[in-house]
Amino acid sequence: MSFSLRFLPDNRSWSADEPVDLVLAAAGCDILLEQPCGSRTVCGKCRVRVVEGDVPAGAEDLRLLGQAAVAEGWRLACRMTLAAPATIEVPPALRSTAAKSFGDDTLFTLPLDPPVRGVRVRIPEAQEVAHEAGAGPHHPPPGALERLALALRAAAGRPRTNGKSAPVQPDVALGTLAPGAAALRELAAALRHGPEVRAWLDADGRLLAVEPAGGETGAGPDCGLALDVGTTTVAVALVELARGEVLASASGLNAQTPFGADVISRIAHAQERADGAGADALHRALVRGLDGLIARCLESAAVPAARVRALAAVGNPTMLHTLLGADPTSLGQAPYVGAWRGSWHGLAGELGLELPRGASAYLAPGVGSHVGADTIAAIVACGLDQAERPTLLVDLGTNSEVVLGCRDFILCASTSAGPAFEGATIRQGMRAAPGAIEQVRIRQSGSVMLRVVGGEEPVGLCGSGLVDAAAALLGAGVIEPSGRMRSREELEALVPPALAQRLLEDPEAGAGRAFLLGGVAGRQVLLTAADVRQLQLVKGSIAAGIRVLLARKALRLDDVAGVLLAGAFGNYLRKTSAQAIGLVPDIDPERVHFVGNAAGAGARAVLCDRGLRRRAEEAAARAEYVELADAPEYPDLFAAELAFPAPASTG
Amino acid sequence: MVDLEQLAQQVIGGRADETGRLVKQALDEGMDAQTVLERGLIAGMAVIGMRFRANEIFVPEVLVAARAMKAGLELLEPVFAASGVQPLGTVVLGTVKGDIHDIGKNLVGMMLRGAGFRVIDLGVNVPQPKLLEAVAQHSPEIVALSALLTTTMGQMPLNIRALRDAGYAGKIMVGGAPLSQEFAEKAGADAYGANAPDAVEQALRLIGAAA
Ligand code: B12
Repeated sequence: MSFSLRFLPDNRSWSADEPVDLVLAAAGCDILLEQPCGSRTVCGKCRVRVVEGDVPAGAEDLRLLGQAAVAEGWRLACRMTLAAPATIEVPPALRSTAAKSFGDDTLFTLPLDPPVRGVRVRIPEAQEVAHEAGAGPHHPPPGALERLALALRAAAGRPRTNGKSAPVQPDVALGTLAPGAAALRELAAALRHGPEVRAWLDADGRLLAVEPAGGETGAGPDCGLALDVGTTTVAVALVELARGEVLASASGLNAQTPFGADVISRIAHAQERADGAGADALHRALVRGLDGLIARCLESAAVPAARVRALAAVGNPTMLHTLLGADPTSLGQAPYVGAWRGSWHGLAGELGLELPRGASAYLAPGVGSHVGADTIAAIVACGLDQAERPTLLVDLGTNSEVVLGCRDFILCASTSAGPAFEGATIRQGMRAAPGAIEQVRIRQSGSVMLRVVGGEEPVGLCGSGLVDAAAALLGAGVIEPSGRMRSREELEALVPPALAQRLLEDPEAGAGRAFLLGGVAGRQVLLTAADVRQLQLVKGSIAAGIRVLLARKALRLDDVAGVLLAGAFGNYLRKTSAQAIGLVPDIDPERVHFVGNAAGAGARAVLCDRGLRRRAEEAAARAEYVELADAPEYPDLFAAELAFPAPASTG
Repeated sequence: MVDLEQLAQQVIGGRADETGRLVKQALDEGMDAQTVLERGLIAGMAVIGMRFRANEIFVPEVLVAARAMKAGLELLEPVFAASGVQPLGTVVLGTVKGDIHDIGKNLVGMMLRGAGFRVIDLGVNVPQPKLLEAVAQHSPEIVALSALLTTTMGQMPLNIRALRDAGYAGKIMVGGAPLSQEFAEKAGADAYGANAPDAVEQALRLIGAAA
């Protein structure tokens, strides 16, 4: 029996004929829900309201939402499986607001050498080239494709006229053209308009597309798409290929999120179904989400889809597997090896995206295990592969990769720090959406200053706020370097009363102390002792990862030229706070640099320039992967690094 | 006479040398080994467990306390062996196949030891045959399994079924960050513990001893 689910306030409906998870049904209507704890039913934040329909409350609903809220119809989205008609209200705060950028322009030195170029040529008449094409009187005359190959060869031999250092032209031969059906169709159609055509070739000399010379889409500059496929956030940039300029960009929550917050949960989803249906669902969700973002970019830049000639994608191995529709199951268990590791060249049509089928598609190479193309892209974007002296790169995200590299070596590790910065595992953690505390300062007088996204009443704490709060409380003595929160009694003797008063002894019965950051009565924002412990796990795993890498090269921190902090959230972090809690090693703050979404910048780089693409390939080929799970010293270093550094001064 | 309260404090403070010294002194003074264990070492670890649960202390403090406890326990074990005193019960512990996370599992092991259990730790990435073999060999009262990955928690029901099929009639306890009470029940486990002190509480409940 089929039934329908309606979502408010969007008023979109989803019909199902078997019991369906609320989160998946909502995603089917393009309503993506934030699930801070990754549907582990621990955070109680994914609350939606049942407006119509009979949805019995479970024990988890009562435990996390309370009797009053449940009576009003509130339920946990992550627990809801619906088998009968219902109308569900999804509050705005629950909707994803994930965002990412594509780095600045300093990366490029013009002129670029795009991996796809359009060439205008005249296809010679059959009789003009009969001899060249090797056709004798007894052979049939050459076809248009064979003649096009000759013309392209001739064009490649011609000196370039614009005076710029000529980028290398592919060595075109009939064999390399290897056109797909779409390109042949276009060639046949173009012939009806005359012999003058524009042909697009990729770096290997493959024929991607053909158009009549005066054609519509050939009129504007060629464009490409840089895709930064993050586990949590997906970002797309529409780029003018020849100049590397970003014409438009868009980002949003990865549409796979309903299947789990981290890569392992996604893999688990694929793994459950031996028939590949799980992997298929991941692929379709991702492509659907990307299509939406791509459409937004094209629309805002007023560029027709037909002008997209290339795309380049970066992401961790699980994301790239699911982008291709490949089953990621093998990445879920030791030794975490995927179906491929290097780069992949193909056509956009093969990915199922709503783009010209003949657009060239490039997936950047990864290093192995869970260190993927996003890390390689970040390495190239930051120039780590060419650095004279060893430099550290920390890409803060759900799986936080650390890299130690220079022109002589590249070492990578995946620290599996966990999604605390994205809000999971933190009691009132959230993304940097309106209402999120993003900065915390404590004055000498003991007053607490907050900066809240959107200037609103605080409702939670984002990653930078979490780090800032911990740093401020550590500095003020509310938190000991061991991570222990001092008691009210101890604080009364140590800090101004205004500060001591904010310490609540066991507000939730059993979980220990908490510090009142702000918020109004009834909607207070607390940093709990347990939150501090979660932050310590993140900090400990990253710091221990860094120490393992340094030890492998027998280097000390003093030998390191600098620390680069990448990641969508990195930019909002305060250096001093990151160092105060030991997330970033204790070096001169001048040598700590924020590099923003380096993976996104790298995606743009490998999209636009063959030289940068080559650098990515080289970096991937020589990068070494350090398996922390096999490092005997890791557990001890991890335990040692759980503690915060002792504050430099008191107060 | 050694003050056992004092001994417990040494365990809590993680002072291994001092713990060892006091245990030795207590035995030399002719104190009952079981009393030294219960009122000194176990009492100390109980405080550690309470503080850990309340987030007063964290992994490093538990590790050093456990090290101190171990220093004392090593001196007591020969005495127990000689006098035929039995531990509270035997626990076979391990991290499931495909998973190498062991920090949490080790804490569980330490606290179980600290509560008087004998713990056979099979380590990480434990394949089913190895688990079955160990259970056949040690006939434990409790099998305790840990998993930290969403992809490996599925090993729990498989292991539990295999244990039951092999005729194991004792108790089975599971834990690890991605698990929940509900998951444990579905998987057919007898108990779930959210943290190491919980593991002790559950283990005591399972063998019918008061917590
Ligand atoms: C340290 C760590 C590692 C270390 C492990 C070192 C070691 N020897 O254990 C290293 C770097 C090697 C590692 C590797 C990987 N990790 Co890891 N790791 C962590 C981290 C940061 C902390 C885990 C930890 O030690 N916690 C501290 C202990 C004390 O807590 P605990 O383990 O939860 O244990 C307590 C309770 O759960 C309970 N308990 C535990 N076991 C049992 C058993 C019983 C019977 C009972 C009753 C109770 C119980 O009691 C314990 C004490 O109170 C977590 C993130 C996080 N914030 O939790 C990720 C995390 C667990 N790892 C993760 C991942 C993905 C990986 C990798 C696959 C990725 C990679 N880096 O390549 C690999 C996989 C390796 C493998 N084959 O298992 C993910 C799992 C996500 C998921 N949905 O499954 C996490 C959550 C991080 C993330 N990215 O989100 N990891």
